[in-house]
Amino acid sequence: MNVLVAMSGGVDSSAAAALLLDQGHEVTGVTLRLWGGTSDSGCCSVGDVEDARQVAAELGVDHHVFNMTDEFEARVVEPYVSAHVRGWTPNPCIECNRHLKFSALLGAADRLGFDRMATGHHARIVASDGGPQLLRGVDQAKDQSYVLSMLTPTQLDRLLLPVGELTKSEVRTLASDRGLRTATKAESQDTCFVSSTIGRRGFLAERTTLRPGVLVERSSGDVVGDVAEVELVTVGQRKGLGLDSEGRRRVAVAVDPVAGTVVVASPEESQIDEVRFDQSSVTSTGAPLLPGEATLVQLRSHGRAMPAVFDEGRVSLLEPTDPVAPGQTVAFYDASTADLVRGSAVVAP
Amino acid sequence: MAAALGGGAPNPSGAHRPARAAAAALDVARHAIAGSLGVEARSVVLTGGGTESCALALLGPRRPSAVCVSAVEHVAVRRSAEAAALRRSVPLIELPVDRDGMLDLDASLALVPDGALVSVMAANNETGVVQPVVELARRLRTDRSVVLHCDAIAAAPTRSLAELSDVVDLLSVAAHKVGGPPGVGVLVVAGDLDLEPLVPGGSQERGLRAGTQDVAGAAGLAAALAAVDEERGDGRVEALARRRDALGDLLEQVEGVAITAGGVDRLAGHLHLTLPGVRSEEVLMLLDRAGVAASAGAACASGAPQASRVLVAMGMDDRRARSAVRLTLGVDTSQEAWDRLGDVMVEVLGSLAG
Repeated sequence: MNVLVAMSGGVDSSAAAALLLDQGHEVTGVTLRLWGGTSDSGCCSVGDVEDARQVAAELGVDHHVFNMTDEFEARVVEPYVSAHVRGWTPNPCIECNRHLKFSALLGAADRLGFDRMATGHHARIVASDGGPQLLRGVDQAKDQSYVLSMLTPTQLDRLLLPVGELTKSEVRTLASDRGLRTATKAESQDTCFVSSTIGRRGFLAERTTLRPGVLVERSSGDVVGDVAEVELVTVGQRKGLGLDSEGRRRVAVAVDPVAGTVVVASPEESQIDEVRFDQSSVTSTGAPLLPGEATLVQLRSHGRAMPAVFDEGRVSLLEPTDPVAPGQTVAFYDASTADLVRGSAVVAP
Repeated sequence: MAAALGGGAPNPSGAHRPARAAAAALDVARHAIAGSLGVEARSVVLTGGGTESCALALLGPRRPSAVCVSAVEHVAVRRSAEAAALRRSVPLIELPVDRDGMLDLDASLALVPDGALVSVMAANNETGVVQPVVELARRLRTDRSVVLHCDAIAAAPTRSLAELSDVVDLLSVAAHKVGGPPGVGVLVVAGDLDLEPLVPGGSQERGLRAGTQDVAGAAGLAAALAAVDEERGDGRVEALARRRDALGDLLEQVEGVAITAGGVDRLAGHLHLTLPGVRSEEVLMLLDRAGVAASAGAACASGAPQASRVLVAMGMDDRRARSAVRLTLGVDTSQEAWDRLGDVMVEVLGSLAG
């Protein structure tokens, strides 16, 4: 097949391109230029584009660079800022996957006559009678199915995820055996457009006014402390609230930058047994979850999946857990086939 | 070039026989370059390429009252102009262009103060639009004193620069654009214009460009300029413009395609077009797969096309600007290659426009 491989300049997508070549596909590499500003991490820097170009040259495949900085700004960066302004905690990787990699780029792959698009994500797509299924990667520790949980059957149909069958160490061995320069490259971390020199605080301060506020005890309504920037607090946060001495530990359970409040509760009181979401944000990788259907939910990229019951606009958790911030993604997995991704939703306040 | 190297690369500033031979070869090359550009040999300052020539032209003048550059200059001029304005603590003034990217003469004349350093390119590298530099020089000099630089890098392959070099104080040319070696350039410096060199060092090139001269590079530039002189002389450039126009007419038949600045004087080999709604990158990828090397006109450090500043300065909206494709064609392209190019372009543009 004629495959367009999205190459980020990291080892996983390098290995994906190599694997597809070995499988006899015709491979073309493409790297997205996403971020016009300065960045030193993730898949946004000029250095990463250069790495992708070099790997493509080492593999002997064509390589192109697509500029999607405008789309990235509109679909990922601006929503990232406005979510913080509302006291939400966005997941920019998922929004980038949703709107850029698996929408704009996949559309381009179609127009350009490619049979499939591939990425280096650690997850698997397998065929079934009911259509393609999205499964966790073989390497459970590196599994990235959470950030792909918003994919639809139409998208899965046109995708290849070749490294999902490998462990991370197998990926590195493969890259190293091929002499690819990314074989030992460190993994990208954090938010790719936020450089470590300015951090999240500095980045947001450039684009919005960060406001001070107070910490309010949920049970009593008492003001129990203050906070320099309400927008930087995340629901579920324990550290950095000035309330971590023994016996006074508190967890942020609600963040309201407009009111200038962060509501806190004791770790025990803060536990939740339900996650609400806007039903319109629900996506399905195949057959949609039905109200009353048992499922497994994962609330963080590398969190544990927990048993729950799906319902319209909410899931009930069978065991209490730490609170999850609005704007985060809840990924649904199948109750009986634990590796099978069923869909996603965006957590509501 | 091989002959100029003389079996080695002796320093033309030396006092021995090989050095004298190198100095003589350099002198021959310098005179030939000067002849092609219509200037005196002593005006020819050899540099390490077009970007360096532009940098010396913009950063060299010691006391400009302002730095004025057109809105469509190449980044080599633009960045040096910004640096010069900062270094000399003088304003940077942008001279506007019309919707074809042609310098707005009246508006520009109203903006340029006495004593300014003015830089306007001979022709735009992206659109090929030829700028009215001779007219600008004439009108500027009627009532004010200016130092006028002209970036003639894009124009050099197809235009005679003699008339330009007569009226400007500084003129930049790059060897690789005329088929010579990369890493070699010329800044024509008229008369006794006092410039501050970019790099401290020896007194080579009238003290304006320190460092051992690249004799072979100079010989390569001289030969390349002679070759383009010949192409202009025997009608090949006119033939190129006719073929370019015919290709433009063909491509305009694809729904939505617009030839940029099609109604004004452009460099013979330049064909620039837009197709709103289609992305440059996608056109370029399909062309590349069909064996056609084109560009979008501007590239950032990572090689990804962005909406060109030149097109934005022309008032083009972002959607159209993001669809830009620039073809630069040479006189030696065979008729078969032209026909194939037309077929491929029509197919690619048609498939993406659909």
